[in-house]
Amino acid sequence: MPTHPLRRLIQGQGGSTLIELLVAMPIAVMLLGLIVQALGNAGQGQQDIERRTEALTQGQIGLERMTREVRQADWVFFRSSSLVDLQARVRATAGASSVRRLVRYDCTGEVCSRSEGPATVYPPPAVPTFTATSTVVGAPKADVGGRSGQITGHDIFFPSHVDSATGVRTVDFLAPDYLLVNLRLAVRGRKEPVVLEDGVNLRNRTTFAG
Amino acid sequence: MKARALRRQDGMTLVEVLVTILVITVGTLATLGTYAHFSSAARKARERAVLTSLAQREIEQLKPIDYAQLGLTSAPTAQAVAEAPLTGAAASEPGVVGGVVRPGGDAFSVQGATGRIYRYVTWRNEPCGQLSVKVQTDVAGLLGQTTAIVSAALPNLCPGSNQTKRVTVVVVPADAQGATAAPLRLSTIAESPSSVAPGIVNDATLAVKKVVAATTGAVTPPAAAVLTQTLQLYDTRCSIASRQSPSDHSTRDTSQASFTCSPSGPAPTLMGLAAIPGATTDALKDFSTDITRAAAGGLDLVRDSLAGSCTDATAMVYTNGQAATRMQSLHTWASTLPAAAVETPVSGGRASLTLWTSTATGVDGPGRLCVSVRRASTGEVIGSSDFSLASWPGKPTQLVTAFDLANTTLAAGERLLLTVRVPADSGSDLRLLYDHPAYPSALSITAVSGKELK
Repeated sequence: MPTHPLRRLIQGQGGSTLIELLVAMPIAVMLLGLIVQALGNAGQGQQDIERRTEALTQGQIGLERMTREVRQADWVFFRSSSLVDLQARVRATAGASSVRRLVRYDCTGEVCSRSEGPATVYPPPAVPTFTATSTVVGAPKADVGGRSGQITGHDIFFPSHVDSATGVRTVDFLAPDYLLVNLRLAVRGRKEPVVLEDGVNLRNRTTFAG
Repeated sequence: MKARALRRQDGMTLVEVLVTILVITVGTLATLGTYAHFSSAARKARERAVLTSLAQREIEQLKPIDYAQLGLTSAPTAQAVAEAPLTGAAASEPGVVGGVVRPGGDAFSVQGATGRIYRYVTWRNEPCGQLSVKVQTDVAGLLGQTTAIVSAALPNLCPGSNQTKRVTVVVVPADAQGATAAPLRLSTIAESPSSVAPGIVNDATLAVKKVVAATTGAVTPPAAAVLTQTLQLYDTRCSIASRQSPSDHSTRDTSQASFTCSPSGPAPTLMGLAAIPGATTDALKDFSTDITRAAAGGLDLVRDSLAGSCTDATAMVYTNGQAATRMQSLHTWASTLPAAAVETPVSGGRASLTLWTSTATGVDGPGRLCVSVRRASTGEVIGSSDFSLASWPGKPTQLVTAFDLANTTLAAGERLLLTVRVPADSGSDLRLLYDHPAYPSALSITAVSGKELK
């Protein structure tokens, strides 16, 4: 004998019908889906921020190293907007006294690498000798961890001349008195690259004996 | 008993289900609220990072300004004082006016963050730190003076008052409705050159001659031993003496081995000292209408049939028969006719080529470009560069390559040639933008002074 729904309600012992369950379950599933998606998004955002922060930190450390070495250099020789040679005093091992070494920062690839070789006279040869190379900023695209970002744009080193009267800076590779370093790192999951900028006053204005 | 148990398979009532759903919903909303809070905090942190890097960049732009010129062009506006006042020690320092720094209120929009940026330059005192009495007594003993004299002379060791300037950049974030948030301040200290120890930097091996005069702090540059000349790249045929307004056209046949700068037939385009007139908003002309591509504008260089080295003079030209296949891979510019002889420095000179360039497809990709500077009369390569990048930018970018020049004297009336070539092993076809005020691609060379290429 079928029970009247109202009676079931009053008695409080009635269960829900199949149709009621069928309505309730999709609602519950939808809500659960939303929660999972929101949590997933939060996790994704967290990863993006981590990657960006990592790229920013690595970039800052690398940039600081480059500009510090340029500041302390005997001379700087600009080969292109992404390749620079310089000669600076380098400490080979901790505690040892520093020696003059030729240093190259090469940002023509997916990373900025730093190479070191024996000291040479100015201007350095077209193809200098280097004995050691290490990565300073970035990681290759193929790196699965890929947290450090890749060098993008390649317009990185801008030796320039500043007009003392107007303060206007123009790119000048031949007789610079200021170096602008502009580093951009493409980070996975982000459309806009991480941008880092620093500048060095070049104390020596290089001229060529005529 | 068994039958009763079977009858009790009723399950939950609608009310129970509704209550459950309500409880779950409230819980979910609370979770979502926390999530929204976190994501808003993350967004604020990101915005703050963007603003900090913007302020840092602004400081870097101000750093190289000459100390004498480091000051505001005019006093800060009332809006600056209301919206972005100085705080801390800087607030009580007198402003420096009469320089080249604009006080601002300049609007900015960087990576989704918008607002206004203000600049301040103030005079800052830097008194000497206290020297301990023991050190003063020791120094006095060493110098054979009284402690009082040493003590009185101490301030001379330090910059003192009005010998340093404080440069402050204040970034005020503002939303689209104009509502502002807490400003971000960043400052740096500039020191008067006359307050630091005078010195002479003169390294014979570098031929560096920069003398800092002890009294005025003025930098005295040496008499120019060399002349830097910047030759703008034009789209004008080299048979014409000066730049003409460019127009759309197909790729030009510029790099034949036996060219002459005649009004017809193959001929390079011109490069000269005169700056490119016009406005940066002018329409970009298309210099290779014969090449089908996604977006027009500038000159596209298609990968050459040859790979070869960048120092090879023979690869930088082609014969009449090869023109059809290779003229889209090379482009040559010739300087204007020099009235007098031109000589690069005896010890060899240096050249730099500033190029506004992108890949032809507009997508980042590996690229290689050969650059060579030659004498027009003999074809001898004076200098060359092999410019190779892992990701040649997809958007027009200013790239520069510098290279050595051999010691050469060009006779009066002899032109200098610049050739660019995209070798077969370049990962992408490349686009060059030039003869446009927004894209001033140019070749700079050092030459002995007094002999200009005009």
